[in-house]
This record gives sequence, structure tokens and C-alpha cells, in this order.
Amino acid sequence: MNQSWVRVWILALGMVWGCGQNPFPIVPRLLARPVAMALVCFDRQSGEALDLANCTPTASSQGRSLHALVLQETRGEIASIDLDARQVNDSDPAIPGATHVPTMALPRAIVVPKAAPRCAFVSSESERAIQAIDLRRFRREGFARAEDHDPFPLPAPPAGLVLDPDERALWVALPERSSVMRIGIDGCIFGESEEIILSGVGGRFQVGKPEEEAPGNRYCPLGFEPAPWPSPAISLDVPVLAPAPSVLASGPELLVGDRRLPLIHRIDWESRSLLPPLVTGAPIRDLVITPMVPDSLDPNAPPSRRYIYAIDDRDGSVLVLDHSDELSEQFGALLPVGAASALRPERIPGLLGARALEVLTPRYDEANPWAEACFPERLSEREVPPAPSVLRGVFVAAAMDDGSIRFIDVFDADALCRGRAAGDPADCASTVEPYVYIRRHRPRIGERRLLPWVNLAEVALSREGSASPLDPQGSEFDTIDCPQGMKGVFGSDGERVRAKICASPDPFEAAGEVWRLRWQGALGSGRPFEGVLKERGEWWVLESGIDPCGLGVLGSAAIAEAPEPERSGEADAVALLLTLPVERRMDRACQEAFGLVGGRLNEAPLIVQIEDARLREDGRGELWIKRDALLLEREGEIPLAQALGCLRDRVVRFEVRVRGAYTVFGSRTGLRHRVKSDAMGRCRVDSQLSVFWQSRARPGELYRNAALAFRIALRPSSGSPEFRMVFSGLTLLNLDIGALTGFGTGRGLALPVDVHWSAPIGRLYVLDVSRRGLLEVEVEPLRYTTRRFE
Amino acid sequence: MLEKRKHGLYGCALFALFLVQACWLENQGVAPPPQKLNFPVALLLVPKASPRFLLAVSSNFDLRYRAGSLHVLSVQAMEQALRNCGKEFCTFEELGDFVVSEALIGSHASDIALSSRGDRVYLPVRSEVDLTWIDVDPESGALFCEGTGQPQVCAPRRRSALRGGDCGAQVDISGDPVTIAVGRLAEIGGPKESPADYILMAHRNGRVTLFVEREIDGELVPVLVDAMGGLPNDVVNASFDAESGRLWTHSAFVSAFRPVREIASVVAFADGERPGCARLAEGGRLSLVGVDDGLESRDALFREGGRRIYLLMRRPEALLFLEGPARPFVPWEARPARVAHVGSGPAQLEAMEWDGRRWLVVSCFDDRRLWFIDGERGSTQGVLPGVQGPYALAFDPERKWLWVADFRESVLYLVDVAPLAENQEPRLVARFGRPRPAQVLR
Repeated sequence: MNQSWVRVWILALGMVWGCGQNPFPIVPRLLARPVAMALVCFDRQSGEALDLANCTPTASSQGRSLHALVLQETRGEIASIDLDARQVNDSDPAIPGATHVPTMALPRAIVVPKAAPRCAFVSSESERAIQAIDLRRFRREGFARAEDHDPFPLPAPPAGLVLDPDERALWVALPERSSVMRIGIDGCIFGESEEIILSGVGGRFQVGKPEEEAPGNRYCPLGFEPAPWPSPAISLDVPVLAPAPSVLASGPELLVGDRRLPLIHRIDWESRSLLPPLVTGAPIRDLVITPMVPDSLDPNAPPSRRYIYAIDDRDGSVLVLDHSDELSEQFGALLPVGAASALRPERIPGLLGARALEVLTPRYDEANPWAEACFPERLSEREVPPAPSVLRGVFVAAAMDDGSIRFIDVFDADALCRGRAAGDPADCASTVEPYVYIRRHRPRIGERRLLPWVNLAEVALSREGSASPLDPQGSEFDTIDCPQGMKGVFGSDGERVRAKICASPDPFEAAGEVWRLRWQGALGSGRPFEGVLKERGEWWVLESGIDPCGLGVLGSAAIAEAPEPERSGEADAVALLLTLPVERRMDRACQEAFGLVGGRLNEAPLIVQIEDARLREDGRGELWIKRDALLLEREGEIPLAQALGCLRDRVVRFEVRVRGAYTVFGSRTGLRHRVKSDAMGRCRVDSQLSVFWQSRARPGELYRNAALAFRIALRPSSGSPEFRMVFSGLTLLNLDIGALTGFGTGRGLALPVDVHWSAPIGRLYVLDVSRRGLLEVEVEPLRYTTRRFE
Repeated sequence: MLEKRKHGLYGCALFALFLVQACWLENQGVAPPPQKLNFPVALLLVPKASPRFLLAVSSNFDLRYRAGSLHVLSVQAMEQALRNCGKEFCTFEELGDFVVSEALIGSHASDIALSSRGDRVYLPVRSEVDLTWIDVDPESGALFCEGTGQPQVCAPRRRSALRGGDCGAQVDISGDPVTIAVGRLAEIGGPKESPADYILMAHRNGRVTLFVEREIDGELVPVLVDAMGGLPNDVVNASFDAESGRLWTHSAFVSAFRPVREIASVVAFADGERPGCARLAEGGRLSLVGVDDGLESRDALFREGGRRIYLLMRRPEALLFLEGPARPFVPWEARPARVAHVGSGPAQLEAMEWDGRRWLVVSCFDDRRLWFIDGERGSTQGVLPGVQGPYALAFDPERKWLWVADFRESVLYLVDVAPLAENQEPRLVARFGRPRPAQVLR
């Protein structure tokens, strides 16, 4: 055959193939912005809903199937996902993609009774109603028998929704009416309703006493002492505003989180009367209540501690309240669960940006809390040995803005066995896990640790671009007595009582940070700023877009008014990074001002003292310099004006540098200082803030912040040497959802909105609104299952 | 053989003729049809508080025509037409009854800003890599850019700015202009009585250009006076905080090999020593923490004197609520107080405020929906489908209307947002223009 014809035929076939319809199947997404979920157990044959307790891990083989009903915000639908068959139920196969059960627009919450469920109850803010949806609608087998029910109209848009403990009533929050409504239900039929108006007064704000050590806490090596709980002084004014009940939780009474007032309201289930509220100090985004947990090592004593964990709606931090004994003085107290070094010691460290909470109770029975606990003599019997990622007991899971799920220890039933070697009666004898830290209300640590919690991995000194490790016996630091609560981590004696560098041994005070100490270093991120110099009477005012108070600038006026230790320091200086214009380089006065070194122009910045720093109302910053200021670090008396007269214009690049001290910058802590703008916008030290917030360390003087202490001996005569201290990090237990849902080496983006614990089957479910997915997680150990729906 | 060669010669001749015709470089292209939107990319209501005119910038995105266009539509005429329509959803395919003025500009204009005096608009135009400035009569809506013809073709003088060589270093414009902001020169240190404005133009390559209006022959004329680079690349938008005069740039996530983690800002200073000159300076950078992963922002709005920032992100697809100044201990590190998810492909952000309440609306281009968020709680208040390519937004506070430019279909949609005050979802009430779908846009 003619070769050219062969080519034509090949080309034609290729075109025909390329012109085919839909050559690559597109799989539509199953879920569209899922926001809430409920679990239901179904009989696969009849399509009828069963008691949730029927869906045990072996139920699938008996014709029962656990389903997730997922509310979808985009289209006002409910997806029904068969978790055992691993499929999304499609209510109309004729339409491409999964077709879900329609509900009202913008559905907000869904609840399904655990016993004898007939309907799912869905609330809608935009339609101001609660809809009862026959559960048979969610499986094809029962679809034909499903009944329609009229929605229950509400007098205002609803927020949270929960069931009564006996599941005979719904409770719904109505923030615009400052009330909560109770609606009787019988199967799918709505009954009588009653509205309970909330009060914005009452309750007593108190910060609780630090808790004594509780069982379930565990530390190795022997003799390790955790940092004491802080004793923050917090005062609170409850604003006079109408309550705005938002989130509901089911406890011994109905708990109602308020999104406007710093309160959790309480309503007695039976009498429906208001109980004294709990004063939280913050409006609430979400809240959960734990079961009773043990407070004693006596396995026969009933558990007697219970806690409320709640999210501060202003910043997503997590706080803890006591809810143990209403007769106790501590009842309702805000517990000091943070780190002393933290900005807010009454918040759980490491949990900023929480979106939702859930209590997990794997293998925990409140009536018999020690039944599944691990005891050292029976360690070898454990099928899954105790480990950081194995959760048995009571924990709180927090869905975070950063796309992760974090965990908080409440009662770890395996704690007594951690750090032990099977068959060895000695305590803390494990060589695999010599360091253990489990502490109630702390984020759970997710690693087996071989090094001390606070481990100074490296101390180095950089001079003129070259770094070298420091000798622990060297003279750069003086040896000091470690302050109380700290231990030596560098250059220590055997007891670690005297050392060159001391740090708190508690990982939540001092771990996971790189500290940089730079002689006369610059404030800020290290990048120079730009501004314009203006003449104002007897002053030069350097105006810029930078907030000097936020930077921590201290002029001489601020130093004079400051308390110690700031008062003993020198005023900061501005370093002008200028280049002498070419046309002025032969000018003698300019040469003198800029300096000549060996016949060449000095490239060092021009440094002048700052007299004052201010933040203007328009957000621009001002640095005030005396009009007759002399350049520092120059021979002779050279006025700044002489140098400025050599410039083309007054726009300058500059840095703010400390004088006579090292800047202390932590990679996690930042440049911690006490400078704020006062009523007139002047940058001044706020003595109400902790004296441990210090950003400068002066040679020969003790420097101490909440995490570390030292006394630098080295006072350089030139250059800007920098010390670098690397404290090894701490791995918290967390689920990184973005890592799971990415492709190859890339991450998928994640934004979990809800976490849901299923006690009968011991699994955790996570709704990710970003990837539009539902994930299932096991907890012994913590890992994703293969059931994932997107 | 000879026949074959003849055929071949004829074929070559025809082909050559075709090539010559295609290379006719004097062919100006087809003029855009009058009174028709063509990939509308920016909207502006004038005056803001009580709008009488809606300005719509058409970008000529597919370069089908030889120019982009700027239309001035009468809001009152559209309001009257809506009243006469009487249906729940009204369509008006012809815009002739509403267009009061029209001007042809360069292709690929991407933004529009109004002068502080309310009598001039500025547009960054990518095809010309320059600033276009057009006068607008606030009473009649008439446009004037020294053009001829109907619609008027803006004169070359109005499609560029003078170069201000007397302010110091020689500067020129470099990089695709993307967005624009205008402020009063007096607010950055210029003469208090001066009516002159300063104009900031952000470019895709991480540069910002500064223009200042100078009085020349009795007319205020924009003059290029400064430019700075060194900002993050791949700028797709910029947001202006009028109170602090800070322009924040937003960069796209183009490649994992060069992620842009910072949102940079610039400020301008009038040079008190040299009237008519001003300089740019960097105003600080924001680095987001606590979100997954914070590498691509799209838009921002500033309220309460800059103490509340609404930051629209694509990574994650969410609206971030930033409170107060950045964490003081790590300058410029910002952690959101609240994260509100939105639809896919969020593009632009607009605030709607009345009676002490605030809502944010996000145009979600990929999702083909508008997403309404409560400005305090961050909760979703409405999800409105029905717009194929929602992009630019403009809120009319007097009528409680939201105008939406549909980039995919080159039409305008009108949304009644008053129901938000009753916690109801907004509703689509009208479409202006004949849809010309562009299906290839994702």
C-alpha cells in the first residue's frame, strides 16, 4: 500500500479517537461543603432505622449498616453514606453523580435519636424551622414507605440543636430572642413547645486553684517535676447585653454556650428552670462536657471529676472549667491549665484556632472507669501495647483552623503502663520510652521520646559570618544558680542546679524553639524599613508605615519612665542605611559625616539615639530624634544634620537597634516585650504585663523569661555577634488531614469543621469542608481507615 | 507531470495570497459593538453612598475586538425598568436604554478607581502597560477622554501618564498592571488645600507604581513619580486600606517551588520639599499562621480603623477574620481569629453594611455561586447559584442591591440583598445584557 495513504489512515483514526465524547470520565464530587453529621444504624434489607447500639463492629455481617447523614450547605441536601458498604446512597441514579435528599436551604444542625429513631431533625437558619425527615428516605429499600412531615416553624433563626437525654424533646437555641426552646417529639411528630428566656446576670467568675496531681498523669523519668500550674490574675466584667445562646451540650443539665456574653447558661432538664450560669470569661464557639473521670488511684472509688472544655469565640483558644461537684467551691471555676510563659496562662497551650470539640471515650465506662485500664503487672496481656498514638480512656479532640485534629489528655487509662518494660517491675524502666509526659488538660504528646523534653540541641556563636559551637565550659556565659523551677541545660553541674543556661524542664514551657541573641540587634523581622525624615521644630521625625510600639521601641523618654529592668537599659537607636550620592562624594563635610575608612567611604549606617517613639491614630509610626543629635559610634562630634544635608531627599531606609544589650528573639515566642502605646500614642512600658516579657539581655545581668535564664558575659567591642540556641521540638499527637488528601508530595488543603465520636464502634469521624470529605479514624492506634468519601 | 506541477503552483499561489492577507499589519481589528459588555471585569458605583451611575469595565479578554470599553449605566433607568417589569426575575437583553456614556479603551483593563473629587476614573490597562484616565461628569455620567467618534475612542494622551523626571531617579512602568487605588495627596503629607490625588498601581511582577496629579495648564494631570519592586511576585489583586493609606498586594500560588508566604504592603509619602513629588516605601508584610496553608490571598477589606481585616483566601478557600494589629511579639505574623469557608475559586470580596450590621459577599467563580457571610459570626448566611461566572461586585447601600459582573457570560446580575436583615437568603432579581457564554473558562 502507498505509504502516504497509510499515514492518512493513521491520522484519520487518531482524529476519530480524539473526537470521541467524554474521553476521560469526570467523577463529580459527592459532597458539597459538608458542615454537620449524625450517625444512624440501618437494616439493609428493610431500610428501617435501628437503635444505634445495634451497629457494632460485627453488625455488617448481620445485615446492619452504620450510616452517616451529612448536611451540605451548598445545595441544602443531606447525603446518606453507608460506612460499611463504603458507598454514598444515591436517591436518583438517573442523574449523574450522587443525588441527595433535599432539605431546607442552609441547613445548620442535624440530630437523630439513638434509640428507636424514626426521623432525623434538621434546623435551618434561613427558613427558621426544624424539619423532621423520615429516615426511610435515606435508603432505597425504605424510600417508598417514607412519610412527609410539616416542618416546625420557629419564632427566630435557630442555632444549636440537641436532644433531651430521654430523647423525647428537642432543644434549640434562639440567639435573637435570647432564649432556648424545648419542643416535644414523639417519633416524627412535634408536640408542645416551651420557650425559656435566658438571663444575662448571675454566676461568679473565679480562677480555680491549680489542681493537685490527678491519676492518669504520668511522668518519666522518676523524679521529673512538671512546671507548676500558673496562678494568673484575671479580672472580668460581664457586659450588660442580651444573651445570645448559640451552642448546646448535653450534660447533667442542658449547657448553653453564649456567643455574646462570657457565660455558659444552665437549664435543669426536668424543671426547665435556670441554674446559676458558669462565667467563662469569653464568648463561646463550641463546648463539650466530659464524663466523670477518676480523681484517685483507688479503683473502688467512684470517679469524681468532670470538666467542660470550651472554645473562646474570639480567637479559637481552648479553656477548661470545673464541673465536678456543684457544692464545691471550685465548681464552675476557670482552671489555670496553661503555661506560665504563655500570653494567656488560662488557655491550653498549643491550641489556638480551634473550630470544634468532641469527647472521645474509647474503652471507657464511667460506671467502671478502671475496667479497661492497663496495670503494669498485666502489660504483656495488652494486644495493642500502650503508646502515644493509642487512645484508651477519655480525651478531647479539637478540629483546628490549620487543617489538623489535636487531642487533649483527660484520663489516659494506659498511663500507668507507659514507660514500663513488660515483665520488669521497676518503674520508668523502658529503654524504648524513657521519657513520658501525660498530664490532664495538656495536649497529648505524640512521640516516644529518648531525649529529655527540654533538650538544648545546639548552642553556637556567630561572628562575622562564621559560626562555631560553644564550649560548655567557655567564658561567654557566666555560671548562675538556676532560678527555682529551672534546671541546667548547658554547662551544668551534675545536679543541674548551677549552669550556664537554665531552662524550665517542662516541655510546654520551654521546648521547640530556636533562640537568637544578637548584640545590638535590630528589632523586627530583619528587613529594613523605609520612611521619610521631616523637620518639626527641634526635632527630626522619622515617619514610616511601621508601628514602633508593636516593635518594642524604647526611646530615652520611655526608659526614664520605665520600671525595672527596662529602666536600667539604654535607649534604642535608629540606624539609617544611606548611600552618599555620587555628586556629593568629594564634599568634605559629607565625607566627614559618612566617614572615610582608608580613603574609601564608610558603608556603616548612621546611628542616632531615639528620644521617643509614637504610634499615630492613622496607623503610621514616628521616631523622634533631637535636631542636634550626634552620630553614635563615630569619632568626633558629627551632627546628624550634617549627613542629611548630603542627601537628595529625605526618604531613608532604616533599622531600629537596641543599644548595650542583646536582642532575644524566639522562633515561636518572637520578640517578647512590654511596650504598648499609651493614650497619647507614645510607646511606653506597660508594667501590668509580666516582668518575664523581656526582649533584651544585658551583659553581666541576669536575663530571665518564663522559659530560660542566663547571664551573658561577652560584651563585644565591635561587630554584632549572635548566639543561637536550638531547643529540640515537641511532637504533639495530631491528624494532619492535608497530608492525607494531597497527591504525591503535595498537600491537599484541609479545614475540618466537625468531629464526631461513635462509641459503639469506637471510631472518630471528621468532616473536612475544604476537600468536601468525610474521614473515618481508628484510635487504637490513631490512624485513618480506608473509608474516605469526597 | 506537467499537470501536477500546474496544480502545485496554483496551490502555492493561493496559499501565498492567504498569507499576505493575514499579515496585513494595518488591520486595526473589529470595533466592539456599542452598548455591549464584553468580559466585564470591574464595577464602580458613583457616587458610592447614593449611586446614580454604574460604571462597568469590559476587558475584551478574548481579544475578539480591537478595544476594551467603559460603559456608564444609569441606575435610575435600570430601577425604573425593574419596576415596569413586575416579574420575580427580569431580563433586559439590550442595554441601550441604560447606557448614558461609553468610551473605548485598551484591551485587558482590570480595575477601576474613582478620584477623591468624584470626577475622574483611573484604569490600569495591561495592553498598554500604563494608566488610563477618563473624566466623568457626576451629574450626567458623561465620559470625556478627548476622544472622537461614537463611542469615543480615548485619545493617546488619556491612555498614559506623564513621566515625572524631576522627582529624582528616572522611573518607568514595568510589568502587567493589575489593580489600582486612589487617595488624596493631602492625606500623605501633600498641601492641605490641594485637590490633587495620588494613584497606586500594582503590577503582576511585584512592583508598585506611584502617580501624583499635578496642575498643568489649569488641569490636574497624573504624573509618574516613583516605582518600587521587591514585593512578592504573581500579584493578582491589591487591597487599599484608606485609613492607613496602605496598599496590600495579593499573590497567586503559581508553583510549589516559589510559594509566596507573605502579603506585602506599600505606603506613599508626599515629598514636602518638592511639591508634586512623592515616594513609595514598604509598609510591612503579613505572614499568615494557623491556616492550611495561607499561600494565596485574593482580596481584603479593612474596617474599624484597620483593626479588623477580612482576608479572602484561595488557600484555604475561606474568609479569614484578622483582629487587631499583628501579634506584637513576632511582627507581622497574623493568626486569624475566625475562618469562614466559602465556595470554590473565591475571587472578589465586598462588604454590605446597614443598620449596624455587616455582611460579606464573595464571588466564587469556579463554584458559580455567591457566598454571603455574617461579618461578625463568620457563619454562612446565603449561597446563591444562578450566576455562571461571578466576578466583580458593587454594593448599592441605598437600594440594598448588589451588582455582579458575570465574566463568563458578559452580563450584569442584580441581587436584592435586603432579605439578609431578616436572616433570609438574597435573591436574583434581574439580568442586564445578552448572555454570550464562554465555556472554556474554568
